[in-house]
Amino acid sequence: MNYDLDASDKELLDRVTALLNDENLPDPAALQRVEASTVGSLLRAWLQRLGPAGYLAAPAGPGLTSARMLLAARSPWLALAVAIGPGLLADLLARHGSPEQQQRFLEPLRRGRLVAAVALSEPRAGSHPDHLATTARRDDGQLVLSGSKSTVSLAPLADVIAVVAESDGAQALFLIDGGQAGCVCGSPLDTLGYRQLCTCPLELRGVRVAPDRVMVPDGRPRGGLLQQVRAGWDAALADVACGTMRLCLEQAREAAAVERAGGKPPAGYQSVRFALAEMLTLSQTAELLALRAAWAGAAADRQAASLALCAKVFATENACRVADLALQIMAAAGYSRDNPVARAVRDSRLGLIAGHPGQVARQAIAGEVLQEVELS
Amino acid sequence: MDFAFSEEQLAFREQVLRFAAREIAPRSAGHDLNSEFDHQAFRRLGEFGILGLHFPEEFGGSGADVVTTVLAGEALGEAGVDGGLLLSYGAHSFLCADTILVHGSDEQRRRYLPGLASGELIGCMGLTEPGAGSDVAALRTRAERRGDRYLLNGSKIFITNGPVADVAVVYATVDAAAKHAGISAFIVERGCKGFSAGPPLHKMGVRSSQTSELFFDDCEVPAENLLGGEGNGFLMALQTVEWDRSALIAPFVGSLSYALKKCARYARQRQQFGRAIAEFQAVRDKLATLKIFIEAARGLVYRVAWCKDQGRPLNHLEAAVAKLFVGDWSLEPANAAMTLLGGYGYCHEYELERIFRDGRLASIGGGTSEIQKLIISKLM
Repeated sequence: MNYDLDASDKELLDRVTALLNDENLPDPAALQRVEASTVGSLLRAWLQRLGPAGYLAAPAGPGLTSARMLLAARSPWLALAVAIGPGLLADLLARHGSPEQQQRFLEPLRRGRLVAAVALSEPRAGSHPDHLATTARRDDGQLVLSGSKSTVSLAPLADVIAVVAESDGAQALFLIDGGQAGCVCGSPLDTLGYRQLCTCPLELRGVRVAPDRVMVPDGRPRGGLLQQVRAGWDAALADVACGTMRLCLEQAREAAAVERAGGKPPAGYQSVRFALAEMLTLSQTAELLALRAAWAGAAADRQAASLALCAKVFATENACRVADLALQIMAAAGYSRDNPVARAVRDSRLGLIAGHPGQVARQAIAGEVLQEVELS
Repeated sequence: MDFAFSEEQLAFREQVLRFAAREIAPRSAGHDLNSEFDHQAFRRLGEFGILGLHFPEEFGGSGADVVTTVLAGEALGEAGVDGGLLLSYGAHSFLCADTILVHGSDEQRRRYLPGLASGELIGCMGLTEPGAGSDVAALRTRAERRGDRYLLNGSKIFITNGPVADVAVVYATVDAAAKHAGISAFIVERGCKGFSAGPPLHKMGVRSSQTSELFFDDCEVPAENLLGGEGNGFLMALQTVEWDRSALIAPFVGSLSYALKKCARYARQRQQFGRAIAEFQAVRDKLATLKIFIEAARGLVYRVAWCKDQGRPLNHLEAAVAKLFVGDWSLEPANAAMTLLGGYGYCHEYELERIFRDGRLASIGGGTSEIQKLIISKLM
């Protein structure tokens, strides 16, 4: 047992810390406008520095999880965008990509040269793998994609979009270029939070895909690909939720120390101090659980899947709680639209519904428990 | 980072689970119902090596590290041992015996530790007073040096194992004006002149653990029973906090693991509306609530234990976080477990009402949740 990060993980954290302190990089936390061009240029600037820092090539585990928390504590949207775009596609390519696909896409992704999006959700396919309606048919040696995806984050910014679709009775990933003929991004949705992700619907109207741009996971149970995409989202959301808690705690602690009318700062009141204590307790508990889940995944531990779901549910639910407590402490300042805490209140709600939604995750956790009892 | 237990630790955990499930847990229901201390079970814990697990071998222990010790405590809870016996074990091994192990002279260690390890002797710690709970510096029990002995006067309250203890580590002040710096610890034996215990208190939970007042009326304690030197008692009491916030709360987490298994089995077997209730989402949600709490709590509890194993100075913040989380956030899963069994959950025979009652102590004993919040908010 060892609760300390490995030396290589600490080095990664140091490099990310240096980037966060680099005044030459645009501050993602200061991003007010959410036009795709503005977000895109900022995201690319960060990817081009995160790549050489080793962030984009870091294997899943406590090191990457810690680094994500650190980045999210400054900018939840940036940490999430990197994780569920280039990070997720890089992970899928590392697992299922051919050597040629890895050379063409994986290396540039790891260097921070590509913005990527993964298109999964459909209007009538929530969490069930059998309801995907997007299909690919063969035509003249190529595959032709047709269907629609309801919420694709980063789609308007992406150089490459990985589309999950049915083909020949299996689920596969189709790598298409952003802006490719027949691939139509709708207007970004007016979402409650995380507007920087430019989430939009995606129409696929006969998009032609060469066979060497298709990844078909071998020997996987049906739905395995969807599970992997969702698991990638889950881990990202858990880590970003932990970073969000840190951010909210820091903001609230600073605000609580400032004297206001009445002669003493909010921290002079026990109820405020106790709220801060609750926030820190939830924050530390969530971080440890997320780190343990990340370790379990990297170590192929028997409980890895269950722990990942536990971490996702605990971190995302309590990020909402911590953000609410921070808002209460910050009062009117926290209620201003562009205040980091006001954003966190809105953004944190995504964690409850994305990846495995809370209720679905809880059912899966219980399923594991029931199976263990049956086996024992 | 590496959150894995060693092969040896896991093997020992399995041994503890089997032993406790076979020999100890079946006795729990009766002793809880009758609010009786289980002397036989306590001795068996000693014979199995639990009571002195972390003592050096020369004092009757096994020299186990803290993580292994905490793992054993969690396994006892997971085997279904009642919270009362587990609390008695914690007060005995960590609050009493460990204080003698860490701060006692060689003679004191040789005299008391083998008996405490075997269970031949039962230990307790006398710190809390009617007017000095979490505010240790306010304790009023006095110790006055008279030649080759000390005279102790005062009283203690809420003392786990008080009515059954053979050996008590008692905190008293040799100089009330010096506040913290006057607090000292003494080893007081049963039968010592002027020392008596009150009748067991009737508690909501942890009933098989006997809790009482202790009275000191010109109690004569030999000077050689001073523990760790005059004026060092406050720091000694603080050092028990590491155990309070790892080994003493681990059994609560283990008990909820036991509750989870019990609930899952029940949910698979119980039929309603033509199918097992495990198929209902609301039932599964309760199982998930338990599982999530257990995994979250483990990370905190073992962090405190691991830090102690590394010889790191006590981090009061991390210890308080662990105690607060287990104390306050265990209430919902414990309630969920009891509710899942419906009417059966409310009945003694099904144990979940006992786990609910026992677990309620976690946010009160060893420093209330409010005290933990005070500590956290002060240190953060």
